[in-house]
Amino acid sequence: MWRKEIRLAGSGGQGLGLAAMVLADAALRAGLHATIMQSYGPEARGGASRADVTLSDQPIANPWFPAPRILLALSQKAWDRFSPKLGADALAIVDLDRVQGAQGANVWALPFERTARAELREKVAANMLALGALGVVLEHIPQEILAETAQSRAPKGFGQVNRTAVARGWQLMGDALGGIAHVESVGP
Amino acid sequence: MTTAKDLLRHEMMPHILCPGCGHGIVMNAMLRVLARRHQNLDKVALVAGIGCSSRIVGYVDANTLHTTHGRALTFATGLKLARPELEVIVVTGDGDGLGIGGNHLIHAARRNVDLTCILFNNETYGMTGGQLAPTTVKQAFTTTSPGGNTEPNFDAAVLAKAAGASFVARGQAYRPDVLEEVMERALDHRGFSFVEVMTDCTEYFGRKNALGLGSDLLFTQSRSDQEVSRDLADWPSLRTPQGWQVRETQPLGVLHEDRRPTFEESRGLPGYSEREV
Amino acid sequence: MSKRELISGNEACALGALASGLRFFGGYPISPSSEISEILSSRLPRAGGVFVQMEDEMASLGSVIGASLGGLRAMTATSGPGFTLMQEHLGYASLAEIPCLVVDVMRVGPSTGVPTAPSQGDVMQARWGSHGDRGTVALSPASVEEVYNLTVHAFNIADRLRTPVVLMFDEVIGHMREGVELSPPAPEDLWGRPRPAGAPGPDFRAYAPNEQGVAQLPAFGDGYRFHVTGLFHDERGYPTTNPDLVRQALERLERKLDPIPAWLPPEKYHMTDADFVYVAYGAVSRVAREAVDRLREKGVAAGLYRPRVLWPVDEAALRKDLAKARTVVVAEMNRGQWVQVVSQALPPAIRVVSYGKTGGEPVTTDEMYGLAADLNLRSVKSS
Repeated sequence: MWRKEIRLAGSGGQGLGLAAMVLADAALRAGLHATIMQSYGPEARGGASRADVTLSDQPIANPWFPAPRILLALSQKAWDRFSPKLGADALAIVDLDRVQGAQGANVWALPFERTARAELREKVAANMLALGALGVVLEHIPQEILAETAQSRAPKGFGQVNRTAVARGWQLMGDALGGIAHVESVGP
Repeated sequence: MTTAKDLLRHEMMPHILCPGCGHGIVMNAMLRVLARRHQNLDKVALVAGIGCSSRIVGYVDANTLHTTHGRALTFATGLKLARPELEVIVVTGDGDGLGIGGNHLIHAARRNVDLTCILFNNETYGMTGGQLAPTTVKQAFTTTSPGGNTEPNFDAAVLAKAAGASFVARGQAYRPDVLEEVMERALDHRGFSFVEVMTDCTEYFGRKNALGLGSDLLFTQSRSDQEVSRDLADWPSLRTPQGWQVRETQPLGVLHEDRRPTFEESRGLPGYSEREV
Repeated sequence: MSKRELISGNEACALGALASGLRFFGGYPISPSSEISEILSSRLPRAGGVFVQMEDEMASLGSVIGASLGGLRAMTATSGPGFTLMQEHLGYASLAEIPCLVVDVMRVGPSTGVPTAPSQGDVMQARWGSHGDRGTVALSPASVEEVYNLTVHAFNIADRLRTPVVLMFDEVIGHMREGVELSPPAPEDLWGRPRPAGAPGPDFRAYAPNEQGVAQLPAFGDGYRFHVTGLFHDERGYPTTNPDLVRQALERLERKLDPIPAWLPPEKYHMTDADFVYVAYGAVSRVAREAVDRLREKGVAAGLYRPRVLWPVDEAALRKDLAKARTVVVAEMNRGQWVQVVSQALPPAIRVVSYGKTGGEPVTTDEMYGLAADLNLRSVKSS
């Protein structure tokens, strides 16, 4: 039995709620178990918002965790707030241009928003790029399922953008890891 | 031809109202109006809160709902939306409808569900022993204002109108003829109708303020055909047998009527037309 | 491919209500229950029902009782402070025997407390919150799927026994999304209300109880004219102060709820040979189950007893079910509420331990497992 505790954090409006839905739904489609606990109240509307996703190959008893094993931070506030709680073996993925001072062996800073803006002409697709990057390190969800889910759950008119964004994010992370994970994780 | 008497639950008698209480007159007026409108009260629901006035719904052979203190309008809202074909009348008092239930009154008025609310205003909490009410006029003695009331009182009709009631009227026990006419129009009105009825409490308010017997109290309302007299503005002279003369006057009759969409109409729900069938 | 959908507990509650034939919802916004209102505000009208946002929680339950008296399946949803405000109308619905469903998504209290953090602090309020003695019904689901199913059951119980029913779950269950495949109830799985006995007329007795001790009220407007009151009343519904009638009514109102625990028996996980038993409900029961698995791996005869009905309690059944236990840990997200039921039911030979977690953090599996060690269970400690 394995269990992964993932926190998707950023500021309200960055689409982390949707990213959590896509991730958990993709996990279900991949035959896994998934839960989401989302932050409610004022923080969901502009402060440091978060959605906690738990993935496992077994039914999940507890959807709650005090500190994540994997943190995705798309804003400085989110990084400042949640990174101190990270354990030594935790892994973090941050937006290169949004988060300063995120360093460490297990920290990956990638240009999600910059790439979304430059290549997809949609700044808001940064969340799906980040999700693609996350997919690489999660290992259990094939890229195709993640991209397919991102497309089907996209707001009207954003399906193709989101699908492309996931693939591009996957690639960014793969490149960062030296291409190894990229090659291994991409399934047909 | 149906009469008021036919609409009573005789097995519930004797009633609990005190000798000299104005509520019986108001109830009779209501029954006479209902008798003119219906053969029986299968399609009429009377919903009441807690208090002397609220008890009278039990005496009427209709669908009768005696609820909790102040909340009759909320039960009536649910009932009316569930059964739009019913003529739903809320019977409440001034403590019930303006004190503990004041919030529900303003929201019912704002929402404009097709209800008729009849508020018996006797300026005191009768059932619990004559305490200070939000309608008690300044300087009046009650069992909880032993030195005379120092708080201003609500004008229920003005309040209801301000909150959005689409029909507002005031009547008095002294003029059951006017009251019947007002009630009839309130029932005909589509939307939230509010009728304030001045009806005196002999046993507590009258006695505490040395205003005499029930009939004396009734005559204090007789300022003119157009107006209900009410305000005890000059307290010391009230202690004289002519004390009612200093009551200030308030307008009587239909005070406001407009036709705006009911809650049911705005939502596309079955509404007023259902109760016509 | 699985058809599992990602649904939250609050969403499942709204969907379960719709599947049960909900036709009226009156509510007031409050975290963490508001999603139930939000979903029903769009879905209920499309199902031919009425959604009203009332001015407060007393108004909400008042409108629900009024609509139920009109013959509709009706509900409201709230959380701690709102649940407190509803207590008077819960008492009213009990005494006047008006079916209705109140959903309480529990958050940390007292007072405004921690509005979006989970708790199970309303368990005793559900039992004793309204003044006067009365029998109460409270159901407690532990998963998103069970929220859906128990919502259906709650309406069934409310209708058949003409009683208010409280469906209570903590914020974790309300807000968590998990993959579920919901199966809507078949028409024959939906119970109705007792039909009125007798024809309209002067001899009609709306409050004459049936064999199950349940009043047989028609709906308002169905041609029966009758009286409903929150005063103690005789079979006609007319007020009475006769002490015998009052006592009889009170007893009947409590006794009529007796069948409920058997309709929704507790879940017993590894209970056949368990001598170390967790008693837990809602979110806590989920981690307790994992702790049982871990303890079993270590050779501890651990089990989980998970009540789905918190009120009423069948004490004899509880005693029987836990008879083999030597240690019972009642774990709750409060300072020890349902543990009082367990301690009262069990003989002194069984050690009953209360584990009450407050503060708004859910109990974890590690914590539950650690409890067993703290309680000096030999095989755990040595491991």
